[in-house]
Amino acid sequence: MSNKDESDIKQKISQLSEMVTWFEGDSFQLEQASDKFQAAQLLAQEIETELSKIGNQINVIKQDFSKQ
Amino acid sequence: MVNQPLELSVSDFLALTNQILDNAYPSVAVVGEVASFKVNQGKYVFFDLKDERGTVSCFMTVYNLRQPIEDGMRLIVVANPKLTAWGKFSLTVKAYRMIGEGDLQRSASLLEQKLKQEGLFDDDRKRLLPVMPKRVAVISSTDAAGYKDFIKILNDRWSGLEVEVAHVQVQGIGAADQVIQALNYCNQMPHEPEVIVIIRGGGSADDLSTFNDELLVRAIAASRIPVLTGIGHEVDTTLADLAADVRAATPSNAAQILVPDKRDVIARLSTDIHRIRRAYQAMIDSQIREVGALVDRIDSLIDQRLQSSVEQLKHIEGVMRAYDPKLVLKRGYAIVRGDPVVGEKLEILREKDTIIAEVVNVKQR
Repeated sequence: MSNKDESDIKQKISQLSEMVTWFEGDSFQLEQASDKFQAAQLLAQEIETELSKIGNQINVIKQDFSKQ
Repeated sequence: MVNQPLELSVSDFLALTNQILDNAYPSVAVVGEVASFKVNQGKYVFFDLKDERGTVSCFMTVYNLRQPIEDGMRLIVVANPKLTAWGKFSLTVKAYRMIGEGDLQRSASLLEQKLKQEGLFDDDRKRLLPVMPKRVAVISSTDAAGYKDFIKILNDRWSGLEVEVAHVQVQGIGAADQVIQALNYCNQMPHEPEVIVIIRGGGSADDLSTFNDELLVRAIAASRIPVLTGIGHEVDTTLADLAADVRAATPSNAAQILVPDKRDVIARLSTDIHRIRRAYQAMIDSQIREVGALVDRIDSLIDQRLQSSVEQLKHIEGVMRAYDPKLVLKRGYAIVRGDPVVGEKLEILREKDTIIAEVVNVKQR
């Protein structure tokens, strides 16, 4: 998995959190709400899919640490 | 023929003896009790190792003094036997470890006091670990059960991590140096990890004593990258744990501290969407209420206007009625039509009849 994918999960969760704040805050505008709501649903779906599907990449370093 | 004894200079004799010792004992492990322990000039460590029947001198540099030693402690030393330039036989110690839980605890306690005084374990040195890290370095033995537990929990809880694993020995002589090397390596990675996790499962006090090594503890405290330790069982606390930014009770607990549980995150997603939906609906309801209030206000204004117009009409009607000629006739007045010219006829309209009259005279007033 690439770094982009990894950062995507964190960024998407952060974006979703910002959206919640927007909906619950003073910046809310009804004209934008429909688009934002759809985007939030899509984002939540993507996060769930990514968390459910992708695994961790585990790499054992080749360096021999027993040598001084 | 008689064998001639080998004739050597003193220096050659010492060199030859050392060569023979080197060949016979390139490395020897000797067990004994420490006596006459001292450190000279802050650099050189001297002590005797003895048992019931003998004593041997030992020498090492302060660099190798990784865990405090006191007289009376029982040690196993890994050393090279040497004959010094002064003809004294000595063991040059490369590594050592305490034998016996009491000595291990005493040594760890002495080192803890020393490092505590230096502030190595102070709370204000502790850094927070990143939330949802992307890149993590793990220092552990990949064969150890503790490492497997850690990876299992990690994979179960979170996705998308890039984990670089430094496989090292986690117990015995040389283990601390390997962990130090791995720490240094991880701190110098070009694509550096956000956190370094040191993992070691449960073991005896002797097994865990690797993590009471002074240089290792200092290396953890000096790490540029925050360090999380998951060493031993819940009841085990090593000096490495005290120096780390965060101490986990076990390797599994380290994984729990390192990453959130994706099931919780997914559950939170639906909560977020629910909150958004609720806020959205509340805003729509509020807007509907506002529009309703506006419509009511408009209705009320229209009513007011209509009422006012009706009043005006009534007033006009009243005025108009007052000017109605029939009403004038009713009050006994008459309406005269025609030219007031002598000889002409005039029509005089009264309420109930009309009179035709002839003008006989017109007087100017």
